[in-house]
Amino acid sequence: MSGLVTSSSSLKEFFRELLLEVAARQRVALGESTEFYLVNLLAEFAATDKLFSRDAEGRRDHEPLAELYHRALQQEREERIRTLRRLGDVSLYKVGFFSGALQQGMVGPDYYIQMGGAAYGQVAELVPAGGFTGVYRELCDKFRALVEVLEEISARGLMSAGPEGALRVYESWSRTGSDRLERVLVDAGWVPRKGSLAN
Amino acid sequence: MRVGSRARGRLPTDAADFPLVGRLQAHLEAIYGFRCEARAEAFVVVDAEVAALLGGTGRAPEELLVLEARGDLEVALYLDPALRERMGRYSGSPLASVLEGDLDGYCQVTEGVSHFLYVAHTAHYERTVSLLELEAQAEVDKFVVCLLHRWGEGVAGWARELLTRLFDQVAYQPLLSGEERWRYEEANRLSRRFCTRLMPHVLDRRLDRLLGDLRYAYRLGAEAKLRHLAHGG
Repeated sequence: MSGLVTSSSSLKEFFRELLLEVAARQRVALGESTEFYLVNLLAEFAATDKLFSRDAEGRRDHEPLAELYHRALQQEREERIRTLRRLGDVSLYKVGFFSGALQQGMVGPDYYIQMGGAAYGQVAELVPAGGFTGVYRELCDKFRALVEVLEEISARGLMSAGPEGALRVYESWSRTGSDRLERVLVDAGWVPRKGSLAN
Repeated sequence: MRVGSRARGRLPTDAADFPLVGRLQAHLEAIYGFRCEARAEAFVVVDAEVAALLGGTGRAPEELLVLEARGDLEVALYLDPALRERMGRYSGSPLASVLEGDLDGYCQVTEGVSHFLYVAHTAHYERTVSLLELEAQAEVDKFVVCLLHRWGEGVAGWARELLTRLFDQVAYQPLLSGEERWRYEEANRLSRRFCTRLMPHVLDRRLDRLLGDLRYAYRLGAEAKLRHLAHGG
């Protein structure tokens, strides 16, 4: 997706438009603050490698969710909020953008959905009342729906990146039969609309 | 057999020099459904003198230079500076615009990447590869890479245009030896027959069938592949 963007502000604008469009299409209503939170999350992970932690040699490494959760349990309140929020963010992004790969891994997408949703729920309990409580509560309650929104955002981003991206979406659709991916492919002309005559 | 880079570290082969190479490899990998660990951009050589030292003939704007030594396969992908300059003009534009502006240049880079990927793929499975097989596969790759840029409504017209431009309106280098000339003409004939057989899938926009046929043919080796391209058998 990096080929589509030139600056942080245009990246945020790009994701904002896409988020609003896809959420509306999927009929997922979002509070303004939650929408703002998600746009920042998408832009931050897309523009940097914040999805990854670094190992001792500075190499990019995936920190297991269970490890993050275990660490959160040992921490004081402020640190725990930060760790749980990262757990929620990483889970949401990974399961939204890489669900195809997760399906072939040792733990499937449901594990990420449960861990991420629960983490946001705990953050909602830990943060002071008011402020961002509602955002974390909404992220927890709508986690599964948000995963589907992110899946479609990811697919539309891939489609616009060129035929190699489109083929990746096509492969995912062939494997999962997802209606959402089919709609993305149909919209881009890669799969004929049902009942239409080809060429 | 291992694919190594004879030129690695000696030349400015940063992917940023020729980003199209990486894009084309990703495109071909997506079409054929595998990922090659070796990345073509790390093997690119743009200096003609170095290419000559590595065995390049200098007769084509792209050449895959291969040396087999002690069980290892050493590879360099020569792309001449003029080709890089031509392609560089499109670096800030959508990739599809290259098809409008310089289909020939785009196909030349595709051919080099196709050779690299096919050699790496066959080496991985410890198979030998003939030059005819390599050339025929590259012709198929050029057709399908360009085809998928405009997959969707109207692709049939584009496919017909590609068949004409890639297989009929062909000119060969005058300096080719008789054997080389025969090989290019035969590769053209075989790949044209195969690509023409793909047309019903294109007309029906059956991507599943198109990819299925392409992937099957890609994985066939040597004589079986050439027979399949020629006759489907």
